[in-house]
This record gives sequence, C-alpha cells and structure tokens, in this order.
Amino acid sequence: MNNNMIAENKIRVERVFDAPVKLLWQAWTEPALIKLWFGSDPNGTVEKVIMDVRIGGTYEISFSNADLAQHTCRGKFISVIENESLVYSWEWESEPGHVSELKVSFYSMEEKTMVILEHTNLNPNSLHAYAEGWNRAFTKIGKVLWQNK
Amino acid sequence: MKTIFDKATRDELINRINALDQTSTACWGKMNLFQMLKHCTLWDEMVQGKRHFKRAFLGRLFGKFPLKALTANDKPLKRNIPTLPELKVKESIGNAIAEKMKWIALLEKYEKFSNSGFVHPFMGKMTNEEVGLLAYKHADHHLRQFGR
Repeated sequence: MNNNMIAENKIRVERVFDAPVKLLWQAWTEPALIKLWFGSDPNGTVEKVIMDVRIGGTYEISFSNADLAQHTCRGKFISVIENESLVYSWEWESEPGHVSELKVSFYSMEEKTMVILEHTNLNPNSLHAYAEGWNRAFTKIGKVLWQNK
Repeated sequence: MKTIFDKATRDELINRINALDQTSTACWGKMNLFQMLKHCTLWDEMVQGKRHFKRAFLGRLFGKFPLKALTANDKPLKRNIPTLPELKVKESIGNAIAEKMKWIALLEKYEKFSNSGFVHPFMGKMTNEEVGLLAYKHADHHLRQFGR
C-alpha cells in the first residue's frame, strides 16, 4: 500500500511491508542491509555506509546511480527509539549548509509493518524528486524483503 | 585465496545471498532454504564467538588434519561434508527472510573480527587466516548448494 503527501517543503511517504518491525528496523540501521537498497535508482550501487545509531551519533552514505553520478549524504541522529522511530539530520555533500530532517516511523501491525517517512525542510523546487526517490527506495527495500518481485 | 576479511569478497557473498528468493531450492543435500540460512547464521555466530559448542570427540582424535586440507587451496568444499549436530537445523519452517538479513549482517561483522584464537569444535584452534578462508568457503559452499 502506498500513500504519499507533498506539501510546502515536506514530503511524506507511507508503505506497509509484509514483514515484522524488527526486520524493517534492521533494514534501516544495519550498514550491510542499507547497502542493498539505499538510493532511488534500481540499478544503483552503494559504496559506503557508516552508521552510529544512537542519539548524537553520525552517519554517512555514499551511493552511485547507474549513470555513475555519485551522491553522499550525512548527518546526526536526533532521536533513536528501537523498532519505533529514527530522526536524523540530512545534508547532501553537494549542497553544504542546507540541512533537512528525516523522520522514519515504524508501526508494527502484527506480522506487517507500516513505515512512514517524513522528509522536511526540503527545497520546494525538488519535492517531487524526493517523493519519487523515496518511493523507489521503498520498493528496493521490498525486494530485500522478498516482496514486490 | 579468497578470505572473508576482504571487503570485495564479503560484498560478493552478500550480493549472492540477496539473490536468493523464496523459490530457491537445494541442488544437493536435504536442507530447505530456511534450514540452510539458519545453519549459516549459526555457523558464523559460532566463529564470531556468539555461540559456543563443546569440542567434538572426533575432532580431538583427528586434530588439525581436516583444517589443513580445507584451507590449503582454493577448491570449493565438497558436497555433503559432515556438520556438527548443533548446527543441524531440525525445524523445517521458519522466517527465511529474517535469517537472510541476519546472515548478511553477520558477514559484514567480519570487518571487525574480534574472536582471535577461535577453537572449532571439530577442527580445533584456528588462526585468523584460517578463519578467513574457511568462512568464505563455507558461505560459498551453501550459496552454490542453492544455485547462487
């Protein structure tokens, strides 16, 4: 199930995965698993994932699209509640000084999990790109979880 | 020779694990997909010191001979080699996706391997070099078993 919202400088993407919340949490926090899905290009690759998942901890992820365009994002964890939510700051290496915020919430529904992603303080001109990008990334997470094949 | 301590080797194995799906079946042996994945997570947890099993009686008799033979060259492990009883997965139904993700995360943890002096219940004390070679061969063996 997909449910998306775009407003002012914020996007919200929702999806229900047919997997328990523990697995979704792992997919968002374990570097080896993040490498399998991060980025919007279905044929992209992830070169580096550093995750220190605790309040004040930092992260950095570098990935490439199939056209070899490279991207790096980094930031700090603002809130970490295991199996419930992650909040972190987000700054593109190519856009220094523009810091957005990402909140990923996990809602356990017995053996299914709803994931709600809210990305705020975005550039209003690129909201559609973010919504589409995160939707594609969600589809890649589904593939890691043997869904959407 | 390939070792689990090389990032490129780990990435190769992780991509092969990710290529498994619900339809993957064994080319030899009796394990189903869930049992193979669970066996591999138990094996890597043992090597990383997260699980401890008693030294097998036969292992004390044979000592290091099997280990030397397995780590002397690049040849894949032979089919249907024996395993420890504790690593045989009896339950036939379980969450294969969870085991797949757990296995991937465990392989990544070899980057910071901290269980030097590991004693294999059958093959005895292993050097880190031997651990690296055997951990790769073990994962490769079971991925080939399931066509990956």
